[in-house]
Amino acid sequence: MRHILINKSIPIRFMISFMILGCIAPLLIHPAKAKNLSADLDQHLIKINTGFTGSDVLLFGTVDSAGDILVTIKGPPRDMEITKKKFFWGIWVRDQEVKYSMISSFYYHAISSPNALLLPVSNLKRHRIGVENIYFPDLPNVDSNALAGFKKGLIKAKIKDQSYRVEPGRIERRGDNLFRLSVHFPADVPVGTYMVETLLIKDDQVISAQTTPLFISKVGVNSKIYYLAHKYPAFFGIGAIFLAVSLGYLANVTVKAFIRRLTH
Amino acid sequence: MFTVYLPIAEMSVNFIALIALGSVVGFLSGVFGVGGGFLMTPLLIFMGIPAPIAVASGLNQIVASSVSGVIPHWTRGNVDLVMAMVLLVGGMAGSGAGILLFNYIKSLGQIDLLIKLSYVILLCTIGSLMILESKKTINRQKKAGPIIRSKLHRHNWMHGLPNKIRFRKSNLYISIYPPLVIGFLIGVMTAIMGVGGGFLMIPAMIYFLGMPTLMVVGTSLLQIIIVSAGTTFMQAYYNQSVDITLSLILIIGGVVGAQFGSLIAPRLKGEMLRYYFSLIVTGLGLILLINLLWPPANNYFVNEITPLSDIEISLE
Repeated sequence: MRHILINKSIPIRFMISFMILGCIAPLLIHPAKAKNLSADLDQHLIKINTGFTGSDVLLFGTVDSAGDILVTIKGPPRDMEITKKKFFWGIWVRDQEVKYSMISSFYYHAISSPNALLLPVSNLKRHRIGVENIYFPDLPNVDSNALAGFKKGLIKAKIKDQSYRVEPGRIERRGDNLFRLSVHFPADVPVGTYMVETLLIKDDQVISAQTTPLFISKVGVNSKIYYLAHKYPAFFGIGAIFLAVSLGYLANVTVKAFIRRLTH
Repeated sequence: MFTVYLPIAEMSVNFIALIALGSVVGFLSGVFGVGGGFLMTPLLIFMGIPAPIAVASGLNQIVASSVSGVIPHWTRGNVDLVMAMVLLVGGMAGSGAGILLFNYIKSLGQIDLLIKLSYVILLCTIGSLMILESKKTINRQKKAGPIIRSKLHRHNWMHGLPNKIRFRKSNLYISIYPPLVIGFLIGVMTAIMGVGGGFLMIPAMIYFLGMPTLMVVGTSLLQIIIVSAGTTFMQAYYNQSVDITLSLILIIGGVVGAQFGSLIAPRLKGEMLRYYFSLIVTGLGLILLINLLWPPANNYFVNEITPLSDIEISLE
């Protein structure tokens, strides 16, 4: 056998070409399935600079089959310390504390029609739709009743400062295929990477999904100041004092000249 | 529009409100000679700025306004360097101790409580004393003409204390312990509440130490500059709570306001003003007290920790 194969020697060129074709072939062969859903944002970077009062982001896209659209926006994961306060001798003081790691710091969702939310609960949980389905890891060290209280308190606090929004926004549809959604991010949103997930829902099932990122970051002077203050605190402290002393001296000098000009 | 973003406090505030706050407090300090910090910090807390950041950033502003204020006294030679030196040795020790206490209470999570409670006690006490004093002065003014201030600095027990040194400029030969203790207490207050302490130091210097009134303002200002600067540094170093943008706006407002205040001061009737001022101070203390006692809407408080890496992403 081996004897015969060696005699039938295939030129190296052909072997290499077949190997290359073999690698590329899977990439060239598409399943003949059209893309149901595509979505994008009008900007992927929100810059927080001085005078930032909030920003509006436009999500837009197309669907090529019937169905409802649902969008969820989840903010960057953060460690959160939740402290329970209790009434002590007439004043509210801190009592117990629980620390969660990597919880979404922001939550928002929007729907094209109320039908989008008629998914079975397991689907809602899997895609983390709704404030009550945000991922909270189990904390085995903490008593489960107390933990339920802490979780409820955390969600209540986040709803109050509007980083968790309960009311869904409305996705507008234009014609059969186009949709758009405008989302407002207020001035005090957490910085970091946000994940914007768009779902196409049909017959109580998620048939298509697309995720796109949104970055919110402090740029320019603000991020540099924050960074300096935390990375080089001694230098920052000396700088602050130097600024204060110089401005104090400068103020005195300028005002003296000003008064002299007034009284002459 | 008129909002400015404070990078360390991580919030946006109304720029006009901040400048107005700095100017009003500066104006009052220009009129009365003192009274910057202890009004500034509680008002900043009311604006929503977290208490530790209000304390540290306000302190930075006090450095600026005290530098501006000390120069005219210095040029006229009304600063007793020796006394200032003793006061500030006590002050640095006090602020060091104060910062240790501050950091300890902060680690317990009760720093908000400490700051607000200290202010309630301070403002209500000072305010009530001022109300009584100014009312007495007004009543006496209605009855007789000018006020004769009695000589109150004959404290004989103090003259028996050891380690006396000569304070040439103030014409005093007293023990170093009273100024050290006064400086120490003021230093602790500076660290915890972000006040310069002049409003306490000046009466203490006049009545306890027997210093001539002419020397008192300049000397106390010098002490305030050094101790406040040192405390600002420590707050920046240990707690990263000095918001330079906030300080800058307050400094500009404060300096402008102070100059207007000292211009108008001679033309105002001091006694009535002091009375209204004392009402404001006491009122502020009471409002803070109510703020402490009022049950919160949600008795769970959330502290989100922003990792530095999320900030670093944005730096090119």
